[in-house]
Amino acid sequence: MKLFLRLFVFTLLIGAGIWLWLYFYPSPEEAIRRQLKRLGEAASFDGSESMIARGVAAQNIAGFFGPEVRMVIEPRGLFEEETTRQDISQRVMFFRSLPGIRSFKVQILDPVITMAADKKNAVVEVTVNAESAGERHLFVQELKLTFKEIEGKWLISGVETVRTLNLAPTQFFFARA
Amino acid sequence: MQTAQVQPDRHSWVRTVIIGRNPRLTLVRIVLVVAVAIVVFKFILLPIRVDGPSMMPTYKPGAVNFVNRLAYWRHEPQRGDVVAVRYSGLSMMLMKRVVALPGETVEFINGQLFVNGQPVEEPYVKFDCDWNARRQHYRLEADEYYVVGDNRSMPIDLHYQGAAQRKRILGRVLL
Repeated sequence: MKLFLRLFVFTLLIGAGIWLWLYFYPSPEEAIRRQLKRLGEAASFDGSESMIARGVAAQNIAGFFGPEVRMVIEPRGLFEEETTRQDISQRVMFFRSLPGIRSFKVQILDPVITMAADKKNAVVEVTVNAESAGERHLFVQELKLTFKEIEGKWLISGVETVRTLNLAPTQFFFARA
Repeated sequence: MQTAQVQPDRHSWVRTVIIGRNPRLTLVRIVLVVAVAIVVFKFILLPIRVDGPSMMPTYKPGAVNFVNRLAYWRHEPQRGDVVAVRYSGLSMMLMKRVVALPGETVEFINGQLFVNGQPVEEPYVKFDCDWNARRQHYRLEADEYYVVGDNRSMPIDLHYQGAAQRKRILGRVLL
Protein backbone atom coordinates (compact mmCIF):
# COMPACT_ATOMS: atom_id res chain seq x y z
CA MET A 1 0.00 0.00 0.00
CA LYS A 2 2.85 2.31 0.94
CA LEU A 3 4.52 1.60 -2.37
CA PHE A 4 1.30 2.36 -4.21
CA LEU A 5 0.93 5.66 -2.33
CA ARG A 6 4.50 6.60 -3.06
CA LEU A 7 4.05 5.81 -6.73
CA PHE A 8 0.84 7.85 -6.81
CA VAL A 9 2.49 10.89 -5.18
CA PHE A 10 5.49 10.54 -7.47
CA THR A 11 3.27 10.46 -10.57
CA LEU A 12 1.32 13.44 -9.27
CA LEU A 13 4.51 15.43 -8.73
CA ILE A 14 5.81 14.53 -12.19
CA GLY A 15 2.48 15.60 -13.70
CA ALA A 16 2.49 18.88 -11.78
CA GLY A 17 6.09 19.52 -12.86
CA ILE A 18 5.24 18.96 -16.54
CA TRP A 19 2.17 21.21 -16.22
CA LEU A 20 4.21 23.99 -14.60
CA TRP A 21 6.92 23.68 -17.25
CA LEU A 22 4.36 23.92 -20.07
CA TYR A 23 2.64 26.83 -18.31
CA PHE A 24 5.80 28.90 -18.04
CA TYR A 25 7.47 27.67 -21.24
CA PRO A 26 4.59 27.05 -23.66
CA SER A 27 5.10 25.65 -27.13
CA PRO A 28 4.73 28.21 -29.95
CA GLU A 29 1.26 26.82 -30.74
CA GLU A 30 0.16 27.18 -27.14
CA ALA A 31 1.64 30.68 -26.93
CA ILE A 32 -0.35 31.68 -30.04
CA ARG A 33 -3.54 30.15 -28.60
CA ARG A 34 -3.07 32.19 -25.43
CA GLN A 35 -2.46 35.35 -27.45
CA LEU A 36 -5.70 34.78 -29.38
CA LYS A 37 -7.63 34.23 -26.17
CA ARG A 38 -6.22 37.42 -24.67
CA LEU A 39 -6.95 39.32 -27.89
CA GLY A 40 -10.58 38.17 -27.80
CA GLU A 41 -10.88 39.33 -24.20
CA ALA A 42 -9.21 42.65 -24.96
CA ALA A 43 -11.45 43.28 -27.96
CA SER A 44 -14.61 42.67 -25.94
CA PHE A 45 -16.00 45.65 -24.12
CA ASP A 46 -18.87 47.14 -22.26
CA GLY A 47 -20.20 50.41 -23.71
CA SER A 48 -20.06 52.16 -20.36
CA GLU A 49 -16.26 52.34 -20.29
CA SER A 50 -14.64 55.71 -19.76
CA MET A 51 -12.56 57.60 -22.32
CA ILE A 52 -9.37 56.70 -20.49
CA ALA A 53 -10.34 53.03 -20.36
CA ARG A 54 -11.03 53.15 -24.10
CA GLY A 55 -7.59 54.60 -24.75
CA VAL A 56 -5.88 51.98 -22.61
CA ALA A 57 -7.86 49.20 -24.29
CA ALA A 58 -7.00 50.53 -27.76
CA GLN A 59 -3.30 50.57 -26.86
CA ASN A 60 -3.61 47.10 -25.39
CA ILE A 61 -5.19 45.73 -28.57
CA ALA A 62 -2.60 47.44 -30.76
CA GLY A 63 0.03 45.66 -28.65
CA PHE A 64 -1.08 42.34 -30.12
CA PHE A 65 0.07 43.50 -33.54
CA GLY A 66 3.53 43.91 -34.99
CA PRO A 67 4.93 47.33 -35.98
CA GLU A 68 3.65 46.83 -39.53
CA VAL A 69 0.56 44.85 -40.39
CA ARG A 70 -0.64 43.79 -43.83
CA MET A 71 -4.42 43.81 -44.04
CA VAL A 72 -6.35 42.16 -46.86
CA ILE A 73 -9.98 42.76 -45.99
CA GLU A 74 -13.05 42.17 -48.10
CA PRO A 75 -15.95 44.05 -46.60
CA ARG A 76 -17.68 44.36 -49.95
CA GLY A 77 -14.88 44.38 -52.41
CA LEU A 78 -11.23 43.84 -51.72
CA PHE A 79 -9.00 46.37 -50.06
CA GLU A 80 -5.44 45.81 -49.15
CA GLU A 81 -3.22 48.01 -47.07
CA GLU A 82 -0.20 48.21 -44.86
CA THR A 83 -1.04 49.62 -41.48
CA THR A 84 0.69 50.39 -38.20
CA ARG A 85 -0.02 49.88 -34.52
CA GLN A 86 -0.91 53.56 -34.26
CA ASP A 87 -3.58 53.21 -36.99
CA ILE A 88 -4.98 50.11 -35.33
CA SER A 89 -5.14 51.86 -31.98
CA GLN A 90 -6.97 54.83 -33.51
CA ARG A 91 -9.45 52.59 -35.32
CA VAL A 92 -10.18 50.62 -32.17
CA MET A 93 -10.66 53.88 -30.27
CA PHE A 94 -13.06 55.13 -32.96
CA PHE A 95 -15.03 51.88 -33.01
CA ARG A 96 -15.37 51.74 -29.24
CA SER A 97 -16.62 55.33 -29.23
CA LEU A 98 -19.50 54.63 -31.64
CA PRO A 99 -22.70 55.59 -29.84
CA GLY A 100 -24.74 52.69 -31.24
CA ILE A 101 -22.56 49.99 -29.73
CA ARG A 102 -23.38 49.31 -26.09
CA SER A 103 -21.43 46.13 -25.67
CA PHE A 104 -19.27 43.98 -27.84
CA LYS A 105 -18.07 40.45 -27.20
CA VAL A 106 -15.49 38.84 -29.43
CA GLN A 107 -14.78 35.13 -29.56
CA ILE A 108 -11.84 33.82 -31.53
CA LEU A 109 -12.71 30.21 -32.21
CA ASP A 110 -11.12 27.10 -33.67
CA PRO A 111 -7.57 28.25 -34.38
CA VAL A 112 -5.84 26.05 -36.94
CA ILE A 113 -2.14 26.75 -36.54
CA THR A 114 0.44 26.01 -39.23
CA MET A 115 3.97 26.67 -38.07
CA ALA A 116 6.69 27.68 -40.51
CA ALA A 117 9.81 25.53 -40.61
CA ASP A 118 11.80 28.18 -38.72
CA LYS A 119 9.26 28.14 -35.84
CA LYS A 120 9.36 31.95 -35.88
CA ASN A 121 6.35 32.45 -38.15
CA ALA A 122 2.91 30.90 -38.20
CA VAL A 123 -0.29 31.10 -40.19
CA VAL A 124 -3.42 30.76 -38.09
CA GLU A 125 -6.92 30.30 -39.44
CA VAL A 126 -9.62 31.34 -37.00
CA THR A 127 -13.32 32.02 -36.88
CA VAL A 128 -14.23 35.31 -35.28
CA ASN A 129 -17.68 35.65 -33.79
CA ALA A 130 -18.77 39.04 -32.55
CA GLU A 131 -21.82 39.56 -30.39
CA SER A 132 -23.41 42.85 -29.58
CA ALA A 133 -26.36 43.66 -27.36
CA GLY A 134 -29.33 41.82 -28.84
CA GLU A 135 -27.36 40.33 -31.72
CA ARG A 136 -25.76 36.95 -31.03
CA HIS A 137 -23.88 36.83 -34.29
CA LEU A 138 -23.26 40.41 -35.36
CA PHE A 139 -20.67 39.00 -37.66
CA VAL A 140 -19.03 35.67 -38.16
CA GLN A 141 -15.90 35.78 -40.23
CA GLU A 142 -13.08 33.44 -40.98
CA LEU A 143 -9.68 35.11 -40.85
CA LYS A 144 -6.18 34.09 -41.74
CA LEU A 145 -3.73 35.67 -39.32
CA THR A 146 0.01 35.72 -39.83
CA PHE A 147 1.99 35.62 -36.60
CA LYS A 148 5.63 36.49 -36.19
CA GLU A 149 7.74 35.99 -33.09
CA ILE A 150 9.29 39.33 -32.24
CA GLU A 151 11.42 39.60 -29.11
CA GLY A 152 9.83 36.53 -27.59
CA LYS A 153 6.26 37.66 -28.25
CA TRP A 154 3.96 36.31 -30.93
CA LEU A 155 2.57 39.34 -32.76
CA ILE A 156 0.15 39.58 -35.65
CA SER A 157 1.81 40.77 -38.85
CA GLY A 158 -1.00 40.02 -41.29
CA VAL A 159 -4.78 39.82 -41.33
CA GLU A 160 -6.68 38.39 -44.27
CA THR A 161 -10.36 37.58 -44.62
CA VAL A 162 -11.20 34.10 -45.84
CA ARG A 163 -14.24 33.30 -47.94
CA THR A 164 -16.12 30.43 -46.39
CA LEU A 165 -18.34 30.35 -49.46
CA ASN A 166 -17.01 31.46 -52.82
CA LEU A 167 -19.00 34.25 -54.49
CA ALA A 168 -20.40 35.24 -51.13
CA PRO A 169 -19.83 38.86 -50.18
CA THR A 170 -17.86 39.05 -46.96
CA GLN A 171 -20.05 41.02 -44.66
CA PHE A 172 -18.17 42.87 -42.02
CA PHE A 173 -20.36 44.61 -39.47
CA PHE A 174 -23.53 43.51 -41.19
CA ALA A 175 -25.83 40.95 -39.68
CA ARG A 176 -26.14 38.09 -42.08
CA ALA A 177 -28.98 35.67 -42.39
CA MET B 1 -30.93 -13.26 26.31
CA GLN B 2 -30.75 -10.57 23.72
CA THR B 3 -31.21 -11.31 20.04
CA ALA B 4 -29.73 -9.13 17.37
CA GLN B 5 -32.43 -7.81 15.16
CA VAL B 6 -31.47 -7.13 11.58
CA GLN B 7 -32.81 -3.73 10.59
CA PRO B 8 -33.82 -3.55 6.93
CA ASP B 9 -31.77 -0.89 5.21
CA ARG B 10 -34.20 1.91 4.50
CA HIS B 11 -32.00 3.28 1.79
CA SER B 12 -31.23 0.02 0.07
CA TRP B 13 -33.74 0.59 -2.73
CA VAL B 14 -32.33 4.06 -3.39
CA ARG B 15 -28.87 2.54 -3.53
CA THR B 16 -30.09 -0.16 -5.91
CA VAL B 17 -31.74 2.38 -8.19
CA ILE B 18 -28.69 4.64 -8.28
CA ILE B 19 -25.78 2.24 -8.43
CA GLY B 20 -27.48 -1.10 -9.15
CA ARG B 21 -27.05 -4.45 -7.47
CA ASN B 22 -23.56 -4.82 -8.79
CA PRO B 23 -21.62 -1.52 -8.48
CA ARG B 24 -18.72 -2.76 -10.57
CA LEU B 25 -21.00 -3.67 -13.44
CA THR B 26 -22.73 -0.29 -13.11
CA LEU B 27 -19.37 1.47 -13.28
CA VAL B 28 -18.45 -0.47 -16.42
CA ARG B 29 -21.82 0.43 -17.94
CA ILE B 30 -21.36 4.12 -17.11
CA VAL B 31 -17.88 4.17 -18.62
CA LEU B 32 -19.18 2.44 -21.76
CA VAL B 33 -22.14 4.81 -22.14
CA VAL B 34 -19.91 7.87 -21.69
CA ALA B 35 -17.34 6.52 -24.18
CA VAL B 36 -20.02 5.72 -26.77
CA ALA B 37 -21.67 9.13 -26.26
CA ILE B 38 -18.34 10.92 -26.72
CA VAL B 39 -17.54 9.01 -29.90
CA VAL B 40 -21.05 9.38 -31.35
CA PHE B 41 -21.59 13.05 -30.52
CA LYS B 42 -18.07 14.20 -31.30
CA PHE B 43 -17.34 12.28 -34.48
CA ILE B 44 -20.57 10.95 -35.98
CA LEU B 45 -23.63 12.99 -34.99
CA LEU B 46 -22.66 16.55 -34.17
CA PRO B 47 -25.30 18.28 -32.06
CA ILE B 48 -26.18 21.77 -33.34
CA ARG B 49 -28.54 24.55 -32.40
CA VAL B 50 -30.06 26.50 -35.27
CA ASP B 51 -29.47 30.23 -35.10
CA GLY B 52 -30.69 32.84 -37.55
CA PRO B 53 -33.58 32.94 -40.01
CA SER B 54 -31.73 31.70 -43.10
CA MET B 55 -33.39 28.27 -43.22
CA MET B 56 -36.89 29.31 -42.20
CA PRO B 57 -39.51 27.94 -42.26
CA THR B 58 -37.84 24.52 -42.61
CA TYR B 59 -35.66 25.08 -39.54
CA LYS B 60 -36.61 27.66 -36.97
CA PRO B 61 -34.07 29.49 -34.81
CA GLY B 62 -33.44 27.73 -31.52
CA ALA B 63 -34.21 24.23 -32.84
CA VAL B 64 -31.78 21.46 -31.94
CA ASN B 65 -30.55 19.11 -34.62
CA PHE B 66 -27.65 16.85 -35.55
CA VAL B 67 -25.17 16.73 -38.40
CA ASN B 68 -24.59 13.23 -39.70
CA ARG B 69 -20.91 13.15 -40.58
CA LEU B 70 -21.17 9.71 -42.14
CA ALA B 71 -23.87 10.79 -44.62
CA TYR B 72 -21.37 11.35 -47.40
CA TRP B 73 -19.13 8.44 -46.63
CA ARG B 74 -20.41 6.39 -49.55
CA HIS B 75 -21.86 9.04 -51.83
CA GLU B 76 -21.50 12.73 -52.51
CA PRO B 77 -23.97 15.47 -51.49
CA GLN B 78 -27.17 15.52 -53.53
CA ARG B 79 -29.33 18.41 -54.70
CA GLY B 80 -31.85 19.27 -51.99
CA ASP B 81 -29.72 18.01 -49.08
CA VAL B 82 -29.48 20.31 -46.10
CA VAL B 83 -25.82 20.34 -45.12
CA ALA B 84 -23.51 21.85 -42.54
CA VAL B 85 -20.63 23.89 -43.89
CA ARG B 86 -17.76 24.51 -41.51
CA TYR B 87 -15.74 27.63 -40.86
CA SER B 88 -12.21 27.05 -39.52
CA GLY B 89 -13.47 24.43 -37.06
CA LEU B 90 -16.56 22.86 -35.65
CA SER B 91 -17.65 25.49 -33.13
CA MET B 92 -19.75 27.30 -35.70
CA MET B 93 -21.11 26.19 -39.03
CA LEU B 94 -23.48 27.29 -41.74
CA MET B 95 -26.68 25.34 -42.32
CA LYS B 96 -27.66 25.57 -45.99
CA ARG B 97 -29.34 23.61 -48.75
CA VAL B 98 -27.41 22.24 -51.71
CA VAL B 99 -29.08 23.54 -54.88
CA ALA B 100 -26.41 22.92 -57.50
CA LEU B 101 -23.73 20.31 -57.98
CA PRO B 102 -20.17 20.46 -59.35
CA GLY B 103 -19.95 21.63 -62.94
CA GLU B 104 -23.45 23.16 -62.96
CA THR B 105 -24.35 26.81 -63.42
CA VAL B 106 -26.53 28.79 -61.01
CA GLU B 107 -28.58 31.95 -61.35
CA PHE B 108 -31.69 33.51 -59.85
CA ILE B 109 -34.22 35.29 -62.09
CA ASN B 110 -37.26 36.94 -60.48
CA GLY B 111 -36.82 34.71 -57.45
CA GLN B 112 -36.67 31.53 -59.48
CA LEU B 113 -33.59 29.33 -59.22
CA PHE B 114 -32.11 28.23 -62.54
CA VAL B 115 -29.53 25.46 -62.68
CA ASN B 116 -27.86 24.92 -66.05
CA GLY B 117 -30.42 27.37 -67.46
CA GLN B 118 -33.38 25.22 -66.36
CA PRO B 119 -35.84 26.28 -63.63
CA VAL B 120 -35.66 24.17 -60.50
CA GLU B 121 -38.76 23.45 -58.45
CA GLU B 122 -38.14 24.19 -54.79
CA PRO B 123 -41.09 23.17 -52.61
CA TYR B 124 -39.16 24.06 -49.45
CA VAL B 125 -39.06 27.79 -50.37
CA LYS B 126 -42.23 29.15 -48.78
CA PHE B 127 -41.58 32.88 -48.63
CA ASP B 128 -41.74 35.27 -51.56
CA CYS B 129 -38.46 35.88 -53.28
CA ASP B 130 -37.59 38.53 -55.83
CA TRP B 131 -33.92 37.80 -56.30
CA ASN B 132 -32.39 38.71 -59.59
CA ALA B 133 -28.87 37.53 -59.72
CA ARG B 134 -27.77 36.93 -63.24
CA ARG B 135 -24.44 38.11 -61.91
CA GLN B 136 -24.47 34.94 -59.85
CA HIS B 137 -24.43 32.95 -63.10
CA TYR B 138 -21.47 30.83 -62.30
CA ARG B 139 -20.16 27.44 -63.24
CA LEU B 140 -19.20 25.48 -60.16
CA GLU B 141 -15.77 23.94 -59.94
CA ALA B 142 -15.31 20.17 -59.71
CA ASP B 143 -15.25 20.26 -55.90
CA GLU B 144 -17.90 22.96 -55.35
CA TYR B 145 -21.56 22.77 -54.34
CA TYR B 146 -23.82 25.80 -54.41
CA VAL B 147 -25.54 26.27 -51.07
CA VAL B 148 -28.27 28.70 -50.12
CA GLY B 149 -30.89 29.02 -47.37
CA ASP B 150 -34.60 28.32 -47.78
CA ASN B 151 -35.60 31.78 -46.58
CA ARG B 152 -35.09 34.11 -49.52
CA SER B 153 -37.40 36.86 -48.38
CA MET B 154 -34.53 39.18 -47.53
CA PRO B 155 -32.48 41.13 -50.10
CA ILE B 156 -30.00 38.88 -51.85
CA ASP B 157 -27.00 40.77 -50.51
CA LEU B 158 -28.03 40.03 -46.94
CA HIS B 159 -28.38 36.30 -47.52
CA TYR B 160 -25.14 34.44 -47.11
CA GLN B 161 -24.84 31.96 -49.97
CA GLY B 162 -22.31 30.70 -52.43
CA ALA B 163 -20.15 27.83 -53.54
CA ALA B 164 -18.92 25.58 -50.77
CA GLN B 165 -15.88 23.45 -51.32
CA ARG B 166 -16.51 19.74 -50.73
CA LYS B 167 -13.94 19.66 -47.92
CA ARG B 168 -16.00 22.23 -46.00
CA ILE B 169 -19.20 20.18 -46.12
CA LEU B 170 -19.23 18.30 -42.83
CA GLY B 171 -22.32 16.23 -43.35
CA ARG B 172 -26.06 16.20 -43.80
CA VAL B 173 -28.47 17.62 -41.27
CA LEU B 174 -30.23 14.64 -39.74
CA LEU B 175 -33.78 15.75 -38.87
